[in-house]
Amino acid sequence: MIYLTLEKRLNFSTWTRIGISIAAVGIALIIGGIFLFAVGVNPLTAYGMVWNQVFMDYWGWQDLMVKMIPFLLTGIAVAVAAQMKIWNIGAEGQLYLGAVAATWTALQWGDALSGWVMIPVMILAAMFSGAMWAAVPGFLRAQFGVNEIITTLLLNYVAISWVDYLLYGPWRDPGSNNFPVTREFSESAQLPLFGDSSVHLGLILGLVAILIVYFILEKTKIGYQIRVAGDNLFAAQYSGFNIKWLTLAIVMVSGALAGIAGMGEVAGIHFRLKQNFSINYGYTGIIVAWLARNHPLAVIVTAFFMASVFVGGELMQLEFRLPIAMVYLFEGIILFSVLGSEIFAEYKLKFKKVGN
Amino acid sequence: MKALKSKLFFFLVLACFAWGSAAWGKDVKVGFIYVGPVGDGGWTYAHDQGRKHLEKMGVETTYVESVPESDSEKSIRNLARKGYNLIFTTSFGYMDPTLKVAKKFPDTVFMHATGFKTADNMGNYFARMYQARYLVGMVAGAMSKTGIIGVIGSHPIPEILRHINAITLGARSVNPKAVVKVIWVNSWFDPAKEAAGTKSLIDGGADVLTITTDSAAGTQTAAKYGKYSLGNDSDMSIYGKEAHLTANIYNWGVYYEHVYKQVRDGKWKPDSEWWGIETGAIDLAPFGDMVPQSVQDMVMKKKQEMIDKKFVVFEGPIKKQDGSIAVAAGQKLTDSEMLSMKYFVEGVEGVIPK
Repeated sequence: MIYLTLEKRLNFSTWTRIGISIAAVGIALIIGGIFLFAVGVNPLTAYGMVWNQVFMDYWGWQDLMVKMIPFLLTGIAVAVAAQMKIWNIGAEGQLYLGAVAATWTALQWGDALSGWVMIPVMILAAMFSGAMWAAVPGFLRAQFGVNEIITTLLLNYVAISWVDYLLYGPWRDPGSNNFPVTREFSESAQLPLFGDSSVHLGLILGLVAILIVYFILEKTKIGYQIRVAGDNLFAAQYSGFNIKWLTLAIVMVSGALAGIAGMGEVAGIHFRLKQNFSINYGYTGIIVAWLARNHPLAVIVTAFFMASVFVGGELMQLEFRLPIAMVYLFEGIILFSVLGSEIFAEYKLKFKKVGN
Repeated sequence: MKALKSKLFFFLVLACFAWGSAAWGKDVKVGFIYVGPVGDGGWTYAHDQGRKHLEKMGVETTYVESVPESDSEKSIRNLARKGYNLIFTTSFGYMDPTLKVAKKFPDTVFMHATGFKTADNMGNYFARMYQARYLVGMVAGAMSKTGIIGVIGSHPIPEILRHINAITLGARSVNPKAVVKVIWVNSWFDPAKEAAGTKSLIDGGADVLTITTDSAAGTQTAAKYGKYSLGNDSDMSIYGKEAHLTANIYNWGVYYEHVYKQVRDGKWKPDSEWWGIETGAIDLAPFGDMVPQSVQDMVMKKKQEMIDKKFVVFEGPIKKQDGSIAVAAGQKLTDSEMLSMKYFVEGVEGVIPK
């Protein structure tokens, strides 16, 4: 008999991992191509179109960058907490709270302060409020060991309802026919854009945040403690690290990063707070972080990748009249294949002969 | 050869001239942005029927479906980039993004449904669906045995409050004791929530159900429990023939043809258009067999009065939920008052989320 078994790779290099990921994307494109072919679209034409109009085009790049900004920030938010094996499913809620804080400062002082003061104030307010929102599950986890997956997730719904309350109540813009939106931010509270594009300051904030997180994790003592605690909690405890504080701190940092993402959306794109301003960016952040294996710098690559999946998917819909379900299917295949390939990074397939 | 060249040159000059002067009077390609899937059986389906009407006229059209409101700027811009020079964006949340893109594409005409902003190359449009809602409310009032009518609310914005109020006024014009119960789902399209909400309303005693959302799940649920249903935006009878009394429907094709021709002929102007029942842009779906002829006649008579402008839905005396006066006797609400409505009338059992 011949069995197919998995054998743990003893030494797997980063390059193996990257190679496997690229192969996974390739396989996904082939599978997706079969589906495209089945609905009467030549896959090569389709991929060529996406290549030309997304990666070879000024507008395409602009869309990619705009889409990538929230993914960068929510991705790094999830990845940073995951360093200590803490799963922050609540980036969505923290993002909402960041947007609320930014909106509050904008409505409060936007008319009085100049952009040079206003924007840093908005960023800090968003970070603070995202961090405080995350601190609740962070504290419960640190002090009582409450499962953060449940608490962070449930707080998302609270955050969204809270925004609804503000929009239908105190913050509703009287000039918008009673529609549930705040009034538009004054110019000083709108993030600067790059040239005549729609790409806003959030891009820089996201990249800088990722570099800082990377630096802290790799080069500082506290970063070392976090990594040790993530690898082996008992070892960290025996070494006398203050696990409770580390837990609380890292969850709050995670919340602060997601908060910036929320600020970027309201102050960089919509210039007002409104319902559903986040299209599950907090949840997509989980995928971004997972694809990156929670490595901070890899988040940049995977955020870019996710952005291209979204932007390319929509163009395919427009160009080939594909139903939206086809686009979702496509995105699903790519994610499934990349996440599924994970196992081949750690194990190799072996054919084993047993008996006789 | 020389003659040919000069001829060519002449045409070239002419072409340039035409390009420059007749701002929008060139080949019109029409693009649509939809908030739901074209197969939603309701709101988006109705717009897509309008688009198909244009296609039948030989107009080149395209659409993008299920575009999230917060992510619509890129989709709208993509249509404009690809040379679609008349673009309909069909959900309230597309208003700001449409305006943003409109500023960057001055030669493209943008038409936004259900909003209120205009620009040099952007107008907005809607239809007075509240008129048809009043009529289906009459049917509900006549057909309900419990006197309880259930409505699935989408978002508590003026449009939806206006529609729920119109249903209530219609129902109570037939049965003064009728009440309308409202459950909010805070979504435009969420069949699972719509079905669950409809079930709750049935449990609460409602025996005629309708929705202000976009899917046909409400009709399906009503049919499953042997209750009556009023379709919304499109004829939903295929989703439950035995339940479907009638539906308030859009015929967007009439309107889209009108706008298309205006743009093609270079006569288009940025405007806020609100078409009523007399234009045919809104109407009732055919009545189900269970609706007695007398009820049908009563409703059709009222419809004719609306067409003849003899009857106005929001004419006083109308009381608010708390008993205070909403519209004094002899007064009529203006368009802007209707467009910013933020109260329920007497007879609605439900709260507006605050």
